Amino acid sequence: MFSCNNKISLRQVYRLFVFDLIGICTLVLPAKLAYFSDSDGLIAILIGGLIASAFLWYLGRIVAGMGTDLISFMEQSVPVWLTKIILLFLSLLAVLEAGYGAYVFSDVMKRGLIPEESYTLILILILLAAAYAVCGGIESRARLYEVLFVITAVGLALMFLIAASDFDWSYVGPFLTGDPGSMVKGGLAEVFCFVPLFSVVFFPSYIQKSDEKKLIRTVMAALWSAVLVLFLLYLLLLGSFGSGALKTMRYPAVTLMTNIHMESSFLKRFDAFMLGIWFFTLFALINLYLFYGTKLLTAVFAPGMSETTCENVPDGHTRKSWFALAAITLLAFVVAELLYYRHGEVLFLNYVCYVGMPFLILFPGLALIVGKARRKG
Amino acid sequence: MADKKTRISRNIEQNIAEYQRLFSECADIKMRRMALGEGNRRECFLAYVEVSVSNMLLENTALGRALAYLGRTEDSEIDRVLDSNAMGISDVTPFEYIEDAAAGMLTGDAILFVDGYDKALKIADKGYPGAGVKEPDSEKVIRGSKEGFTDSVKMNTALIRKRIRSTRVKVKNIQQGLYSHTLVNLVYMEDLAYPSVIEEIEKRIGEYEIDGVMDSGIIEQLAERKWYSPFPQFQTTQRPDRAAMAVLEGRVVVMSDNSPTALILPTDFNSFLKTSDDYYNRFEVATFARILRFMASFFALAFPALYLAVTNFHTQILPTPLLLSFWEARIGVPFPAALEVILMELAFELLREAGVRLPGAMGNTIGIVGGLIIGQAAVEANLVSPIVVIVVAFTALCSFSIPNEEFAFSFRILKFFLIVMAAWLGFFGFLLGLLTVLIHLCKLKSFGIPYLMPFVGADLNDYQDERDSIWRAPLRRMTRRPIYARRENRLKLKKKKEGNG
Repeated sequence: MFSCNNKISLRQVYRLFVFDLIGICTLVLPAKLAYFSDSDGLIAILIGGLIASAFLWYLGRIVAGMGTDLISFMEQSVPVWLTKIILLFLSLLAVLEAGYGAYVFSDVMKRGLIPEESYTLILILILLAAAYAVCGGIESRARLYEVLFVITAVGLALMFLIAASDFDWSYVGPFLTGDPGSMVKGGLAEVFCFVPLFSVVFFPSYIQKSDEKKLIRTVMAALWSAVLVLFLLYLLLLGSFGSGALKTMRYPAVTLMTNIHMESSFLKRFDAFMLGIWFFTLFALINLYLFYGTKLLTAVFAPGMSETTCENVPDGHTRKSWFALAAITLLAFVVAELLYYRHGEVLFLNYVCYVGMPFLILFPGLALIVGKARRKG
Repeated sequence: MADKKTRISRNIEQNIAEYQRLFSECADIKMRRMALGEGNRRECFLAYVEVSVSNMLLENTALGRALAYLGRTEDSEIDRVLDSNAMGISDVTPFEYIEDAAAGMLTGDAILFVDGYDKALKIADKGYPGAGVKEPDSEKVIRGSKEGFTDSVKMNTALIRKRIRSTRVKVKNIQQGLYSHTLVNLVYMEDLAYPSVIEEIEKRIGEYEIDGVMDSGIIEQLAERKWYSPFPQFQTTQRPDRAAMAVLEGRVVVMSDNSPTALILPTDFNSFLKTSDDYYNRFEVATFARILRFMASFFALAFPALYLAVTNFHTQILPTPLLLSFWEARIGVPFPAALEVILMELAFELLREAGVRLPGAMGNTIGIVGGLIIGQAAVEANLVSPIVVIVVAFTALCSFSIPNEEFAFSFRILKFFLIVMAAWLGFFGFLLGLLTVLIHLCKLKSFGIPYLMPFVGADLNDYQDERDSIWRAPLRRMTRRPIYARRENRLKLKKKKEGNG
């Protein structure tokens, strides 16, 4: 009937990706956009959207060429030693991203909700929650965001509407005052926040065969939904603070929420409630990377059965999944601690820019070429 | 445990000896020798459980009439009469083994042995005493049938049959309980229920060997997969109309003898917040009631925790006059707000438990004594603040609005978890607690159906299930059965073409 088949619908795919994409980009990106592009950040957002679309299109071609998900293709077509090295490297990337997501999450929650509490405590709790969510597999993840989608969308819409009452057009603009390079920089910063798009290469095994052709279209719709949210948010931020103030803020969206108020409202402030939006979206991001990190690491040590928990998975493999999950979670904790206490954010961002992103662009194409060549040979 | 069975002999003395051995030291088992047949030459032996069989010759029962008929029959014809059931009794079961006859007698009927006849006959009589059909204590409705299930599984099955007069309604018998031999019935519609679900529930019921099944709750707990979950994975009902509706939706109803509570499976979160009269009333009324129940379930879970989070950690949210009012109300209260809330919640749970256990009018009195007098006294003694009393009372009202008691109980338990989280970490703790509960719900399934249907996977049934969720569509728009029913048979309502009477 509806037994554990690890398949999700396209509606769930759309909501999953929207959640994965809007977390970091709405929190961290506006300040970076203001720094690189000032008011031209709006154009940078569109440019970033186009670059991300091209990246997604490229990944779509890779997926179509492989005919299956990335891990299965590599296990079938690429030499074992090379597969293990690449998957290990990808898991490391997932760990770093999870750690970064957890660091931002814990930092935002500490600043916005419970400043007296320990950062480490918040970090441990959220990683445990994310690991618990991973245990349910892709179906459980998809259901979670399917339910949260409406709540978060309503919350965001409410926030935008309330913030719009303090909007001042004189803060927005002037446009096209910077060089095109600054806009492209801003766009690229946006693309780096859209790294979760890469997870589309794992999705052929999560959807029905009949939906495969529509997968990229669905993810593209999710991408542009995230771009639209980012665009509106950045516009509101510009209209509320101006680009000059924006580039000095760490989390402009959070600052926006502390400033907005509704006339004749019962509540004085909404920031604590609105932080719930980022609670769930950043959680989605951490969950995403823990999930794929576990999947990749399990594939390294138990090839052929790279799924995390499922009722019909043999016991031995489930144990390996638990170990992989525990290892990934622990490593993510270490990364998040280092980012916070050793101020490793710049190092991490440089890694993403100069190592992570190029690898994610080049390696799938190389894997496809090597795999196809091996099959022909 | 397959013990060797004893075949019924044609020699009645052997049968009597074996039967008396089986039921030695059983003062409630009555055994009577008789001589039947026209010439009174055929020795017979009747065994029954005292009370379950009425006075056989004076009452107009099947047993009495059977014995009277046999008393008039020629001795040589008795075997033929028994073989062909010429007595015309509807419920006669022949047994070939003593042990089967004994088990048949223990269902509340009488067993008849006849000398020279190699079978024993179970003849139905009034059966064990039981409560009649009356309105269920829980699941009260304003509009709809006032009948409720009884302790007899046969009566309960009949109550469903009364409502669905179709040959497609199937009733499967299963016996559970090593010593209780409790009869368990599975009721379902043949062309609507998925065979895999029926097989699964049969498999799960048969997985354990237990000494006795006293209530359907035992079957429920043994058949659940996620036994540690506070959320029930079977829906329970004491209403035949509810059970009949479930059968028409393609679900399976499990009924156990000696239990007025039926189990319905598969189930989901949404089902627990529906009542029968949602379908008997207009859609505006039903929708309003549903929205109210969904809000109530959220507040039943979250309200005390939210109160603690806001007043202890995020006071900047509240307008200053309200904040001052809260502060003023708490002057002199010696306990921290979290402890105050927990103590009041525990006190309320105690009151609720006491009210359930005390009989009739005393139960009502305890509510008044506890709520008004003790609560008022506690406030005047400055042990608790009036705000906390209001919070706890409102939360209790919300939990009472949840139609299903087992489901409401899960909110009562989880409320404490959220209180602790909010008291510890404020709104972050509240969100974390809520997220944990949500993750658990997302992982939960009931016989393959995601627990959060139709809020998840609504496209699996072309978004039809959403028409009967937090809102209820007009009845003429609810044309399809929910996802439980077999895909090819989901159409349940259509307009007749004009001219087709």
